[in-house]
Parts: sequence; structure tokens; C-alpha cells
Amino acid sequence: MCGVLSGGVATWNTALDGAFAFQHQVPVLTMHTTGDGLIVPENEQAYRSVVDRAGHGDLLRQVFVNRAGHCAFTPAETITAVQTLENRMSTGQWDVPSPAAMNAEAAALGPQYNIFAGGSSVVPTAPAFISYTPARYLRPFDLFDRTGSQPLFPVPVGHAR
Amino acid sequence: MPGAANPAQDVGDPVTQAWMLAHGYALAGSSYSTTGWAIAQALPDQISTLNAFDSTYGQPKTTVAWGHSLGGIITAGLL
Repeated sequence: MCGVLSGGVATWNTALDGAFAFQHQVPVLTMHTTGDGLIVPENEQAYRSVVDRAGHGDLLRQVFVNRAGHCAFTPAETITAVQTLENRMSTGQWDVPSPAAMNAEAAALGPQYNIFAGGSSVVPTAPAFISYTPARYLRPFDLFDRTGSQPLFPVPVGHAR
Repeated sequence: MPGAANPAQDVGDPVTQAWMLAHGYALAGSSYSTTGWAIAQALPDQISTLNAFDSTYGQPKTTVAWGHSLGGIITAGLL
């Protein structure tokens, strides 16, 4: 999972090494590069499928950045994603701009935020949000038992903050 | 046994950090109590970070959990 932002943390459920209960009741925005060879963007399809199955699909929005690399976001792209989520938090409704509009928002932040820092070099980098539908996750991804909606892994602790 | 330095981080890069702090956000993060694949430790550590923030500065109006890479997994696990 790459670049997950979530508005509000009310309760949490213990997860076991990446197998999550997906019982969240708060909005979530994910951001992933299309050319991530470490955590492939197909993970976002798997995440979407489980969140949908948990009945919380409307709380999730997913955006993609057309770039190679793992979590290879510019500050402007990250800030734009934060602002998109914050808008959802303040209005109660998703208003995820089109990729072109998000790119315009990111660009408007200024050149100092539209950079990519690799090692000691800083390279001007245009925002690259893109419309993208990740392919199906390439291995079985089923966190639920065969009978229905019970998580395959136990959720041992609900810890109210 | 002491290992490599494991400083607490609250943002992925200093440029984003500067923008966030200049626009009314507070940032808080933990370094997790272990390194490596630290999901089991990181979840309570992140909650403890929130609690420490609350007791030090007061409870914020809203809270956003965020993270890159393993931090994204941990963020998903917090929900």
C-alpha cells in the first residue's frame, strides 16, 4: 500500500501483518504510482475489493500518479492529495477532481513543490495524476472465509482511542 | 541491543513538512519501537503518539493518519 491518507482515527483494529479487518468508518484516499515495481498498483484493486466487500466502498477513493518508482510522489502531489481528503472531511462529500484538475492544483502550488528529490539532486517534476484502473491482483486475495463476511484472520483487540 | 539510529519521523520529506506546518497542520509521528517489519508494534505506537499529542497540546479538531509505503500499510491497519 502506498500513500494512504485517512481522515480521522476513532478506533482501530489490530491487523496481522497486512491482513486488515477493513472495518473503517472514515474516509480513505489512496495514492499509488502506476510504475511501482515494489508494491505493484494492483494492490489497490485488491484493497478496493476488500473495502467494497466490507460495505465501505463509498468511503474509499483512489488516485494514481503516472510515474515509475515506489511512492515516487512530489510534494505537490502529496499536498494535493491531502487537500482532496480534507475537503471530504470538511464537507462530508467526496469531490475528487479530475486528474487534469488535480495536476492544475498541484502545479499552482509553485515550482518549489513540484520537484523530485533523488539523492543529492533535485529535479523539477510536473504533477502526473492520471486516470488509471489497476488490473486484477495476480494472486488469490481473500481475507474472508468461504462462508461469508467473517475475516479470515482474528481481530483480537478493539482499542478505543 | 542497540541498532541503527531510528529517529521519529512525521513526514516523508522536508518540503511537504514545511508546507504542512505553514498551513495550519500539526505533524506527529513515532519511529516505532522496533525497526523492520514493525506493523504489530507500529499500530499501538501510533495511537500512543496521538495520545501524547493530545495530552501535550490538546485534542485536535480532526486527525489525518497518513503514510508512505509501510506507513501506508500501517495507516490502513489503524482503521
